[in-house]
Amino acid sequence: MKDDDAVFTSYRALYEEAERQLADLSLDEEQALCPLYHALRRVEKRYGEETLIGRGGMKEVFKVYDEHTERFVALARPREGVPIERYDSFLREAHITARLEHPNIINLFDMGIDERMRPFFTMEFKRGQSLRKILSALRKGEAEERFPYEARLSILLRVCDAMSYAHSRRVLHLDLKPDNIQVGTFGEVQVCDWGMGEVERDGDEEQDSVALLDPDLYGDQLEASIKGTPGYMAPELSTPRATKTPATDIYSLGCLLFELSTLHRPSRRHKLSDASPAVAAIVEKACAEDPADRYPNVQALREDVKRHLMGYSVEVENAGVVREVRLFFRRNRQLCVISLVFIAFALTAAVWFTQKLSASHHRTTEALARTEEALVGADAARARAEEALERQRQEREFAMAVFESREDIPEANVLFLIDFLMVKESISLPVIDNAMAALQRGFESNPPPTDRRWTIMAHVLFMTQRFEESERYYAIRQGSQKSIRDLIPEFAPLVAEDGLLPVDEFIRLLKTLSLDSKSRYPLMEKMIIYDSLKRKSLRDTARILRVMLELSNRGWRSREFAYDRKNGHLRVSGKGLRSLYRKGARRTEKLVPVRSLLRLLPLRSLDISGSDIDDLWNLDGLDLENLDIRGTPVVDLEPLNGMVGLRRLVIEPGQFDRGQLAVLRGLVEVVETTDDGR
Amino acid sequence: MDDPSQLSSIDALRTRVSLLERARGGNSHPAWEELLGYYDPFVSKVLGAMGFSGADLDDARQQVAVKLWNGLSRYERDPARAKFRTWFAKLIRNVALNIVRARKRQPSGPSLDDERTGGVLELTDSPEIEARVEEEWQQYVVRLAMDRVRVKFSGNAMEVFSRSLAGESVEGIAGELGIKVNTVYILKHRVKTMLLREIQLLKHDLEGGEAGK
Repeated sequence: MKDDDAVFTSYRALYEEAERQLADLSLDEEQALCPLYHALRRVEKRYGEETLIGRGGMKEVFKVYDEHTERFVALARPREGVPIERYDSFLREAHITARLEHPNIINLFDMGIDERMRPFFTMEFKRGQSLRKILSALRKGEAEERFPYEARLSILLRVCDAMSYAHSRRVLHLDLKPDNIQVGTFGEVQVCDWGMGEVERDGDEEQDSVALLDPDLYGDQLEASIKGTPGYMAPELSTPRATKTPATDIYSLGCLLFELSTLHRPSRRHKLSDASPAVAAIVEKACAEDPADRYPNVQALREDVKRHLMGYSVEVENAGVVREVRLFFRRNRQLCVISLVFIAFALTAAVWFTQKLSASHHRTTEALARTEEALVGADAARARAEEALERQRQEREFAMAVFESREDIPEANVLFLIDFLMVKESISLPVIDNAMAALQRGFESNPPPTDRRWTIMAHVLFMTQRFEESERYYAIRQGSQKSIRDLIPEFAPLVAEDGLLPVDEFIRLLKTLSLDSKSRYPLMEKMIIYDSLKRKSLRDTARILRVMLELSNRGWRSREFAYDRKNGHLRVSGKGLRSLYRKGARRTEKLVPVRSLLRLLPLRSLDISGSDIDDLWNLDGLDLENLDIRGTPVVDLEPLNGMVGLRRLVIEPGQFDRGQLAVLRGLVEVVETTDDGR
Repeated sequence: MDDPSQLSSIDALRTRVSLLERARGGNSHPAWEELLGYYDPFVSKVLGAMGFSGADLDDARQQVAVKLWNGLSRYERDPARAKFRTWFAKLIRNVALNIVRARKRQPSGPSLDDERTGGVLELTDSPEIEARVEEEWQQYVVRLAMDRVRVKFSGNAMEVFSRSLAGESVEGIAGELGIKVNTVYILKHRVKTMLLREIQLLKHDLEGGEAGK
């Protein structure tokens, strides 16, 4: 409660104090409220005691205490005795410096007229030394640990930054030298003394102050004797009317680089060999006699020095690969070792991986090849289909033409036609059916006078398993056909709805016919041709063909007959397998060409290796892509030339000599292998 | 001190239209609402201290508000007027007394609040009640000003000022807060100057232009 009372009392006091209207704060209170304001108000003389810290041709620089900002600044003033007409050239420096705001360029704070009507300007005062002093110390072997080589070149980089900026503001220094570069206690670098500076001409003068700095107006005022400093002075500066360009400053930067790196005075530039090759090259370029041969801008020079400092080769140096590598290793020693280890590891991994990849690639390629093969196959199949379609059209027209003018057709021609149609590959069922229908119509409207034609008709119907219909014709024309006709009662009832005998019955019929005293093989061939056209199951057709081959090859032992529908591949082999024709067929038989029975199966690939087939004409009528004849007594490959689609022939090593293989004319890939691919 | 206007806002306060004037200017209901927002917590507190509570307190508060509204303009025009806090304290006490007396004249009627009526009479009858209300008002205004000032300072300023109000020495504060004596002095004065200005502003707004006198 006591505290409350105290607070209450003080509150009342505050209230009453406010009530007394607080007309004025006491001075004490006010000073307490805003001491800085009062301090500033108290100041009568802004710049205090002066300590001379430098003297140039025209001006003196003092260290003074600025009572306003409460810090030391550098104050510049024309020397005693400098006439008033030279005041403007003194002030130029302030104006030029004022144009430049950069951390590596001395800052102008203030300019004005003092109580004695002398112009002055103030700049930031940095504790530190001029680069000249540092270089002197270094030459004496001191300060080396504070300013090692890299630190000295870093100073140059800072100066380059300043000059790059100044040039961007079209300001040239024209008196760059170590004396005009201040290095602060913390390594800050500042370019000072812009008194010799000029503002480059530009098309349109944007500001009055720029016009004021016109070198035409002020250039004369800079005494030739003090303009530039020997050693750092670019040769063109000795020509008073020569246009000053950034190249002039670049020359001085080259000198500075020389002195910083070798610690020799620029006047001893013949000792360039003391510098590293890179520095020598940079100095050479920066200090070229002709300004046009120097670096195009400060930035380019800076880049080169930077690269040198980072251990890279320098643009102007034209370093060889070995030097590049050495430099690289030097600046990245640890990284290099790590990298090498890593590279070794990576290489090992890469080799291993590449092998895996190559294997995988191989597989992929194979798969692609297979795909391509399949596509080619499909293309070929389509081409064949189109061809067949066209042929069918022609055949139909041909058949129609034949049968529509039947009166004029001799029997022999009719037989030939039928034979022809039957034997030809890819005969379409409708052609035969149409032909037969035409034949039948012919018989009905105009019964032929000769028995032979009746017999033909009967045969055709029997052939096409229309046994009941054929009976009618056989009945009219009895005779040598009796053995066939006698089969009709047995097989006619077995014909299924699709107009064909079941495959087992058909085989039985074929076997029965083969026992006929007369050779029925031509008839049988026509029968299986027709049957193969109509029968839906290729497997059944294959079975039928196998039977036909058995009938043709009486001595066929260890019979192999395997048909792969999907791949169109047939393996047919065994001792005693000599013929792929129907029995009794001889190739030399004229008129109707003899063809391989196998043509009734869609085949792309045939393997007869190990069989006794010695004559490749047995393959006549087949259009294969792959053929395996290893272990066969085949000698002549000539028949294969008719097989335009053949791409791959598998033989045993040494099975054929070069001469024998030559007949293939290199169109077929011959694979010699003993490897049993099956 | 050639130009103290930067430091003193008295002139500015004199020409400033007070919240009270705006409220009275008619039509300006929001201004009165705002004004009442300042008075009301104080009135409630005082009446509560007198023993009013619940519905009784609400009733008394409303009567005070009405009397304030009617009386303020008369008070302002009175050339021989007393200090605002004196006038205000009297007004509140009169309202309280009237309520208590009115209740005594009709003893048969049920009290709005049976519990505290007795105490209220004692308190409101006491002669020193007005002085106490006056003091309460002073404190109330200073507290409002403190609240306003507090948001304007950061760091140690308010802490320094509060400790100095509680009687701590400048050196003691400096020692405890680990700051320089001079800084304590400056901070203390800064807060105080600001606070005095806020008190003046509040008086101007709430005490009917008394600040101008």
